[in-house]
Amino acid sequence: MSAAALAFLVGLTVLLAALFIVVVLWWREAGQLGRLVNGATRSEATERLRGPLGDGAVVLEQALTSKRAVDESLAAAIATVCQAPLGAPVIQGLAIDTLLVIGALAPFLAALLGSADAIAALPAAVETRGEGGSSYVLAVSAIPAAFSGIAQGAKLSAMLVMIAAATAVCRYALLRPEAREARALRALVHATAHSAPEAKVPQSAKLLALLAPTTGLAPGLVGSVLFVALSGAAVASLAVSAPLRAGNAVPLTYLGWPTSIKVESPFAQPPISSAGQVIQSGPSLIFARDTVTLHGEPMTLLENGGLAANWQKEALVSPRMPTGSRPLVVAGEGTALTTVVGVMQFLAERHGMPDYQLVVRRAPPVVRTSAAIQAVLPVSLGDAAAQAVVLEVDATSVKLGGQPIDLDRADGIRALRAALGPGAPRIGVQTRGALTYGRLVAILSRADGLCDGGLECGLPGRGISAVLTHLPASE
Amino acid sequence: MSALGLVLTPLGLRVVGVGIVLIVVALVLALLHHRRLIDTVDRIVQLAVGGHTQEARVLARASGGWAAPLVAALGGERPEGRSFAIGLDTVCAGIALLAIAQGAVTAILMRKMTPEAGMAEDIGALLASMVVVTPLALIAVATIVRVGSAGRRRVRTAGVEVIVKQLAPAPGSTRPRKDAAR
Repeated sequence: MSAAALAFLVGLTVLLAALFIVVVLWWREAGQLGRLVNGATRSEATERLRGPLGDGAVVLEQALTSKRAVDESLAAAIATVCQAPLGAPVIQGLAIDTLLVIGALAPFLAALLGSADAIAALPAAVETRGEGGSSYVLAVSAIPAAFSGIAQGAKLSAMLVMIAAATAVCRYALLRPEAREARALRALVHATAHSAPEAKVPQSAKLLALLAPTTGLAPGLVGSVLFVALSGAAVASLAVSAPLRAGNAVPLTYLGWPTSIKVESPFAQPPISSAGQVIQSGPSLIFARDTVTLHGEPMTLLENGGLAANWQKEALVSPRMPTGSRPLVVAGEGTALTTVVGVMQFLAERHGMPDYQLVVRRAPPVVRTSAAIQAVLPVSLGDAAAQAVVLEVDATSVKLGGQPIDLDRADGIRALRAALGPGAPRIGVQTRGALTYGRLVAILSRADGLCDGGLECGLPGRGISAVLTHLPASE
Repeated sequence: MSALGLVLTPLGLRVVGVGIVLIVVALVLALLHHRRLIDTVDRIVQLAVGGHTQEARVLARASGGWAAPLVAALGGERPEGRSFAIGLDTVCAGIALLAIAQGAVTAILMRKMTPEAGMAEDIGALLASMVVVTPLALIAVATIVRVGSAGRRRVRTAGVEVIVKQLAPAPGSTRPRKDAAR
């Protein structure tokens, strides 16, 4: 059981006990005052009543028993009751208030302490992380977890505050000095009327007319309205600040994710991925349905999504295109991989561009602005088999070291990461057959991603770059 | 570093220190007001019971809105039952509640002054300090409300004393066994 939950149970016990005590005190006093009215039980009730109420009852009891000086005695009893403070002494009141406040706030305070501990321990935990662990990843995972305890503690304390408020309302209605005074005066007057109905009490009547306390509920109603208004204002402020809080709920990684470099095309939407690195600048290489454009200029036409025969002879590449640049590849998921790789190989052989950045879209749960977040999966054309770790990908399977591996399962991901080891290694990817561009991106995302299960968690990828070799289906 | 140890960091000490100062100021204001009120009420009652009703009435009128029930009682009228003079109690309670709000402000100012300090330690210190300041502030608010209510009750019982004296002294002792006025 968490500290906040344990504190909630203790606080609940304290507050319910306080509520019980308030009701018991009222019930006992009201019961004794009720017995004061009945002649048969008046003496016993007089003895049991404590404090100023008992003092007033004693004065009246003697007069009602002897049936003499009833008016004077009743007036004296009224004066005694009305002049009594009838509230708890300051020290006792301070102790009660302390108990109620601590009881109601205990879960919240326990949660604050726990979160303070967790956050203050973070730097040490980051320094002592294991080899290859990422301090950034550790921090962005640990910080939200530390604050989630505060939310839980605040909810538990809110429930206890409601019980404390109910206790305060009961105490106000049943035990405030004016209520006790009115109850006692009513009992004294009824006792007199019952035991000495023939007595004339003009002095007492005059005194009562001037001294009877006001027990209206107006202050309580005003307080209730104020409480509701303040609670409503608090809820309204929470509602108004909801966009800010939703913005703050963005995974910490996205706060620093650069959005200055973006590639947008109305003709091609990059695949969604939960991996990738920050985009580096480079010319855009966009695979639309009918054309391929390089750096904003048409490069070649496509026929049914594929490259035409002898397209290389008619391909247009600006002579101003710098060699060694890393084009940003934008293609839809359904684009044929042979089309993409064919263009990439052409540019690598003829124009010295072997390195590419495959653009992917990140889809965080909440974003600060409407700007889309893009990342890239670095790919180089070369001999994939020469790499230490090679993935063989075809239309139906993925193999690691000749063994089938399922990258949609956690054990498959673990096996791949174990083979890769820590750091930012290169991985060889041999693709074969009629694959789609989306399948290549999905495989690379699984290899590069740090989010569990491939779900978006806001973390950048591990930094893997792939060496790609695409083989025709016949090989 | 333990959570309570975080309170002893510079930021933690400052948050707790400023909070306690505000709480003490609020309590002192409330208690001083209560003391002044009690002393004035006692003086008015002393004058009224001693037969100097006119002087008592002048003193009550000059004392402020809280003495309205006493003014009515001295004039032979029924004192109003509503609560008087809750403004100062509200101000004192507000000052005590500021002790909670100042935590974040103090933390922001400290971070601006010493930006090189560890952020994690500062956040931990702020949270741990709130554990100390928050219950103290709320207990102070409850105490201020209780003291204010006690003061208003004293004003009422003083009015009762005056009215009882004006109408007729009760036979025997009006204060059996123990002094019930305070």
